[in-house]
Amino acid sequence: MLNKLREFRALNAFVKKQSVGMQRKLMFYWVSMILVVFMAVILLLSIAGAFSWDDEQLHEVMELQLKNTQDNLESHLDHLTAQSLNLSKELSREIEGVLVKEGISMQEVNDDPKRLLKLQEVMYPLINATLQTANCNGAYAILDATTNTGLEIADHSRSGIHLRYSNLSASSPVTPTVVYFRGIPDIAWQKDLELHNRWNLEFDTDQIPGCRELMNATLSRPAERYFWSHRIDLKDTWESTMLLCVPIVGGNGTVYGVCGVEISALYFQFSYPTVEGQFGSAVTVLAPIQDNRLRLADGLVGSAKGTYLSGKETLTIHRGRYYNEYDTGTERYIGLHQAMPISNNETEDTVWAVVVLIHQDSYDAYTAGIQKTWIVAAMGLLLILLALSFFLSQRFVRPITESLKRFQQEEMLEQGISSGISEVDELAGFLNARARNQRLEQGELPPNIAELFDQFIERKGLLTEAERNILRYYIDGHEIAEIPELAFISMSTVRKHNRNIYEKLGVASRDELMLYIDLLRRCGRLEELF
Amino acid sequence: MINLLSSYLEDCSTPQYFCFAIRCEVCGEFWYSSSVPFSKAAQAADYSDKKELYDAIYQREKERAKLAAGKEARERFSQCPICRRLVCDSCFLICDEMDLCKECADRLKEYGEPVVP
Repeated sequence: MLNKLREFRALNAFVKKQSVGMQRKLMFYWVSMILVVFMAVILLLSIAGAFSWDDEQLHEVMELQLKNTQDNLESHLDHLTAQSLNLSKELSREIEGVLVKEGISMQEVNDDPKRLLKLQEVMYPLINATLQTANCNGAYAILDATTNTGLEIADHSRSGIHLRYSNLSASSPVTPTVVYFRGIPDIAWQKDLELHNRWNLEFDTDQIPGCRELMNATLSRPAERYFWSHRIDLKDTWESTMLLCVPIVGGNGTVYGVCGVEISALYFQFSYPTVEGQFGSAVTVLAPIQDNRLRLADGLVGSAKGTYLSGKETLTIHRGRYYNEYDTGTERYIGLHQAMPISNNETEDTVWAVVVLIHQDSYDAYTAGIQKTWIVAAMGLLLILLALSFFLSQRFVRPITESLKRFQQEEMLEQGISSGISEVDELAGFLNARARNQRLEQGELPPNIAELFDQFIERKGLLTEAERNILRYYIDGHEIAEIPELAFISMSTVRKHNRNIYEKLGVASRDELMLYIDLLRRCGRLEELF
Repeated sequence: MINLLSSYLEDCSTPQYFCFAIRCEVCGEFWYSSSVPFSKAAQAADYSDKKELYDAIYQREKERAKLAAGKEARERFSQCPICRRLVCDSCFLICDEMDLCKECADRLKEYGEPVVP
């Protein structure tokens, strides 16, 4: 490890020693700066939550949708419960009226088709009225009596009426046809009702969990104990449904039977269609949660259009910060749920909940689109910045490199070519002066020496008398340090005079000035300076 | 010039430091040379029995400091060629014909720019 570190340091030192082009170096600085700024922006955006914005937005949307769905569903089920309790009371009154008139008890109705028919005749208008007014697809009432107690199925076969809508469809949900699903057919003939193609005379109470227990209970009022059954398959049909079971309680606490309404899986699908949103299709679910598992087979699922839900899955719940994940094992959904008690005697281990679900794939597709946009935008910005850095560094370096080329070709800047950068022009001026001095020192006279002398002597006229006085000291061979002694002036005054003399005579230094003086002396033209 | 300046230097030295001053004869402002510490200041205070020795050293260093102060003043003071007064750079003007002190330039109506604005 140490050896590798040493090797790396040696390599770094070697790279530092290498001569790198100015543009490349400048480009490197630009790119470094851009990357640092870019990283800082990304960091700030991530701290500000720009990248978790989708999750937060999804959470807000789903929370709102869950609340709306829960409000609707609660209102729906509360209305059905109220109407069923009312039905129970009215049925109780009518049944008691018949029993009192006949002077019999409910047990004596067993094996008596005529009395059962009489009871069902008084029950029908109430059940039919409930079906017509309630937001459901069926209404029923079961009496704790059977036509033939001698049959094997007599212990779980009970007489009653069950009216249902037959031709439910999403296109015309308000004009369904009422069919006679359970009950004595005489009533259907009297009321001109069509019998269901899977009609039966009596109910099979084993199909409705909890129904027998409710009939055998002794209660003071119907609201004391009612419940929604789990989703059950209707016997001999492809349909499944949830039944609201409300006891029909007599005056002496005897339960005459059970009544209520039904919401079929199909009806629930029509009532709760998927909600299309930017994150995908949201499905409404009313189902029990047991052991952190959402049991769709026992509940109702709204329209599952756009998802792969069959309505029979059990979903494992994984709770998250913004949303929960619901896993079927093969498919994953995201959503939120809220507990919603629907019966008055729910056990603690089973909680009914209203759930809003979105398929994970549709949300992933949405976020992938957003991520792609972010990445493309970031890459685009980076490319633009890199191109800009290349352009700026090239533009900055070009005049310098061009000046260097001119130096190499000995095209001096005094020929009137300016680089546009003052430091480069100054350097060029300095190099020119030095080169000229060197040539002069080597005894090489410039080709235009006569012209230069003339210019120099002509410029002499620009000097003031005080400056000429200083110039005389130089011509006499005195050094700068000697002048204060000779002229009784401060060194600052001498320096100021020097600057003016150089500027007016067009020389860059005292050496150049002395060279001119020497040459003029050698050419015999020194007197012209006085 | 050095001799002239030396004659104008006023001694402001203390037993610990050497310092000299020159007063501009136009504006009246004093200029003080950089302080030079006496190298044996501590010993001279502690050993009074060697007072004569340290006095001699003191005088020798003082002469050197005075010479240095004169050189330092040479940077800042000029003598007006008209009135012969010693003037600071702020009061000495660079004129076309001849450099003059401010007052002489005013009197002779010569325009000039001060060496130190």
